[in-house]
Amino acid sequence: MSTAPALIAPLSELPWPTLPDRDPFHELLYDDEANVSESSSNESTPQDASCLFKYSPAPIPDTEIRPNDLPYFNFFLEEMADVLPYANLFPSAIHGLFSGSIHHKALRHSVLSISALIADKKSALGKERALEHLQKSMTLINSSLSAVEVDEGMAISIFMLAYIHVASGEHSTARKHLRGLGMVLDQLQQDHFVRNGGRKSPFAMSPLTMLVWRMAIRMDFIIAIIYARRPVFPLYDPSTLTVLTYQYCPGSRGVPQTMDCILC
Amino acid sequence: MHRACHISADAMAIRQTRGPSSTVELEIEACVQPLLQRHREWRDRPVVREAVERERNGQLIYELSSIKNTGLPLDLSAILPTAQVPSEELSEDIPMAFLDYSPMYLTNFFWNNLLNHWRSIEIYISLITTPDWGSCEPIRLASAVELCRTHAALGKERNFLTTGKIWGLHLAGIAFGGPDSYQVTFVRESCSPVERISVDH
Repeated sequence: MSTAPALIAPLSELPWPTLPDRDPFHELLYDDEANVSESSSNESTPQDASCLFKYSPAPIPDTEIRPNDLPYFNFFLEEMADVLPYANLFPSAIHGLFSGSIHHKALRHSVLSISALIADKKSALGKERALEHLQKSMTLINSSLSAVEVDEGMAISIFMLAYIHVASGEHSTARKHLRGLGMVLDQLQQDHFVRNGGRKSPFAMSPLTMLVWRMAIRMDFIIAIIYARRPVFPLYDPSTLTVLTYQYCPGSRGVPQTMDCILC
Repeated sequence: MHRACHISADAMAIRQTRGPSSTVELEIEACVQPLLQRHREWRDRPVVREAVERERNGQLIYELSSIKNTGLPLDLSAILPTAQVPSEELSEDIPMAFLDYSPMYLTNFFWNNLLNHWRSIEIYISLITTPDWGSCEPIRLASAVELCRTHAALGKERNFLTTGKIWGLHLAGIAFGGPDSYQVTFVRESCSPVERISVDH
């Protein structure tokens, strides 16, 4: 059985931004390691918070990705940290999203769509390519929803679709996507609850998905403020918001204290 | 902010369905108070207090260094925070002032952006109980002034406008009350490198 050749460039050929070795805000608010140890706990955390999938499946080839789409991947890696909420605080989240897109077709098209929308706007190329990828992503998501097959890649894809519609000024559609995202997230939690023998766990989903959830909440209240509407997401307990962000703190026990400062 | 949006939506719904009355306002006030309290508790967190202290120290050192003769046996410029040190050669390094308020000397842009978000939320919450622009609420007005002072002092960082910054400035405008309360005109003083805003009211 032959498979179509992958058109995605190897990761090693893509430009990767330089990442700080440690939390970039550590120096900002800490003098020494004493404060860091205060926030340590015995609870285990995922080794790599930027990883979307615990067990990386093989990359999915996609003949619908054209060679001229490759710059959009570069754009995503280089520019999206300045675009997505909180991504400038957690630059590795962008890498996590990109890595996830290698294994998830709908997410890949969402990544390309959001990149094409912004990149082509800068270069006045129009929305054509962005809309093509948007259409493909939505078709794939609809197919999965019809088959009741939800996963974290789909949740992130829906978030990106919401973002695309916000960026396009279609806030009503964006709110519908956020509503859908909320349902998918609920389903993911429920699935994990069943798999986990009826026990709730802070690790019901990957830290990256939780961070995306936090991004979505931010997008939700911004739209709510602009249009004087009630937010789509329910009223969360503050500790829930804390968990959503704290999980995405790779390799730094001190970050939760710092994040207290970051997140009002 | 998400919580504040929910409570704001609740307040709007209560006012629309039950009409204006002191009972309704008391009910809204009862919902807002815990929110406001929780919001202000953020300033009491150790990490926030530390950031406030560092910023205050940075500003103090800067102000001392700008005095020609401090009476101290050392050159304070050597220990100035490096983020926003005014240079005699580069006039744009001199922080802008908001109206006639004294300019602020920021040492940490990240922290000050964050603090302005906090002030935005403070104004937003105050608007839930008193949804009138230009009302003379001292805390709301103080937050708006500090927000604008900080925004003016942010310098180049100010030009990187995010939704949060735009929203904060919008809320400050509401706190000030719009053109009926303040007529604002922009005047660039020709002899001064500091861009100032002249206000007639």
